[in-house]
Amino acid sequence: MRRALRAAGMALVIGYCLAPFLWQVATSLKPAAELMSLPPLFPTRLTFEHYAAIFAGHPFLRIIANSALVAACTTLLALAVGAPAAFALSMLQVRGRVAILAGVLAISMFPPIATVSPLFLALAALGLHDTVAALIITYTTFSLPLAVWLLMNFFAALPRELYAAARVDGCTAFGAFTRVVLPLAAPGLLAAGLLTFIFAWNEFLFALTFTATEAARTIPVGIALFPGLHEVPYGEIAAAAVTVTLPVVVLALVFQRRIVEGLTAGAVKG
Amino acid sequence: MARIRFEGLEKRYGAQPVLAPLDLVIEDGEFFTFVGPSGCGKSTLLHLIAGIEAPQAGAIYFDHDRVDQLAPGARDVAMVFQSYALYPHLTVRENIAFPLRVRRLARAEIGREVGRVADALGLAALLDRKPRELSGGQRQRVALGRALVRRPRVFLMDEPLSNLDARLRLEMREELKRLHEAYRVTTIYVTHDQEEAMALSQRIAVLSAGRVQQCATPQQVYADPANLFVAQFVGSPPINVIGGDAVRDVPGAAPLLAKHANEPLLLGVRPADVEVYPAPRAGTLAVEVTLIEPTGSDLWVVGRWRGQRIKGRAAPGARIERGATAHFNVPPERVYCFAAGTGGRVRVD
Repeated sequence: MRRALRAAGMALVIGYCLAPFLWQVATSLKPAAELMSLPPLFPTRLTFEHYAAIFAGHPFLRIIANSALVAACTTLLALAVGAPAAFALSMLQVRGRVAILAGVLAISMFPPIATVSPLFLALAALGLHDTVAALIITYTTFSLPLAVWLLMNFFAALPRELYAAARVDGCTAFGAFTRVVLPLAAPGLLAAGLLTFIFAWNEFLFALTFTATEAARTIPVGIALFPGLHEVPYGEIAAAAVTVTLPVVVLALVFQRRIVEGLTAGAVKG
Repeated sequence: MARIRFEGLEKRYGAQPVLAPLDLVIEDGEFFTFVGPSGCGKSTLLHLIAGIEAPQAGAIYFDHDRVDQLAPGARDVAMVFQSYALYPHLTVRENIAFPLRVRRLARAEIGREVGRVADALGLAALLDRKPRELSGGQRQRVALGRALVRRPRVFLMDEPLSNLDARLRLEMREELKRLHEAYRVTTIYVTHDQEEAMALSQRIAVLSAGRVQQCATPQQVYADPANLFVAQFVGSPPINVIGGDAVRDVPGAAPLLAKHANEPLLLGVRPADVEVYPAPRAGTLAVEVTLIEPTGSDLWVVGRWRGQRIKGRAAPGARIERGATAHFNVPPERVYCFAAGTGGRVRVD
């Protein structure tokens, strides 16, 4: 009885989470005629015409490349800046540590919509309108607080004696960071990096505002702006959504174990 | 190798004093131990020497060089930590080579030095393992190897044996002593285990509440304790302390008591100095036996005498039974006298 209840509960949660995605998958494989009618729930005949259409009819590859570039650069930048910051805040004696932490937290609470206009003006003034650089800069600042907090928790869970040992063995503070602390914090870096990557991959508001053409447009905006002449091209939208969701799912599956390790660091002794 | 000098060295955490101003000289090549209960400031002192923490006041000299402002890596000290602090992502070989790599020694030289240390510590077969694949004793050796490989000016050891089981601890204790005799590096050792301190050191400093209570050879500290704290901390089993009215009946105490008539005194006598007999003898105390601890070489007898707990040593085969009366011989020349209020030593002369 209890097992049955548990199974039912799990099925409910899994269904709740996966149903929208499965709906998209089903839609992307339906012939155009079946798109606007409910039965059939599942396609009567599998077709890849929507997938063919998005790559043929739109500059979709360019948009994917933009997204990949933006997400990858954001991730690298956020880690390159966030890891040393988190290391200093968690392991070194930093003057004004509490004020810095409060600032980091405050930044992460800013609603993006409140900053869109000023950021737009600032980026335009810098001549960065409609460039991937504009998105990379914006995303890095917005993902840094989370990265710093996550990595700080991770570093704080490392035995302090390891850092002390590295210093006594002759490392500078930065040497101890790169030779000892970073390698041990690899799961934390992976977790922080992946969350940043997914954030940058999915972000819509800034991407919509700061881009104007395919030169810098990213996937979420690209899909939203799929042109339809007389109707909304649901099939193509679904095909595009499935296509760009897959890399994220694959990444998450591949690194799943390391991420769980990263997120629960300190809670369980390694 | 270096002679180490502390000059008014002081450390506080906020308003909390951890180390009272310390003035002390440790000779070149000496094996010196700071011993004391947890929280006495001994680990903090090591951290100050290594440069992991900074003092509020005072100076540390290695020979004529003032080092307390230097970065840890510039002081040329090596440290063995209680947790060993081996780098988990590196192999044994890489762990031992780490300090040399940081100093950018030539690859061939690193290989040679690591080989030398690994042979000396019996680690040659384990060089490609990771720390998590090693036993406690092996990890301990790797930590020693990482410290030895550099031939540092000063060796710091922070309770290096306390995570080992009893038998291994004794083995490693002997090994530490052998290593010190082989390398003759000035060694500062920190432990809460007074027996370890006594067995290893040329001199020891007994620390309590951030202050050195006594600094002398192990034998002096044992035979001539400076105060009650030192007397109680050093020696196993711990010293008997007799107070109250019972002091008057301790053999040989009368002249002392006459001299300090208006001052309450405590008398101390080491259990190893108190002989216990089944039958009465001249000058012995009649004691009710409450506990017997045979250790093979000795038979320790705990008893109650005039409301005081007293422990003594009987011959291994002695016929002494719990609940019966045994006869304790307290030799007057082995009785230490302390002021009850301050714990300070009161000398006979």
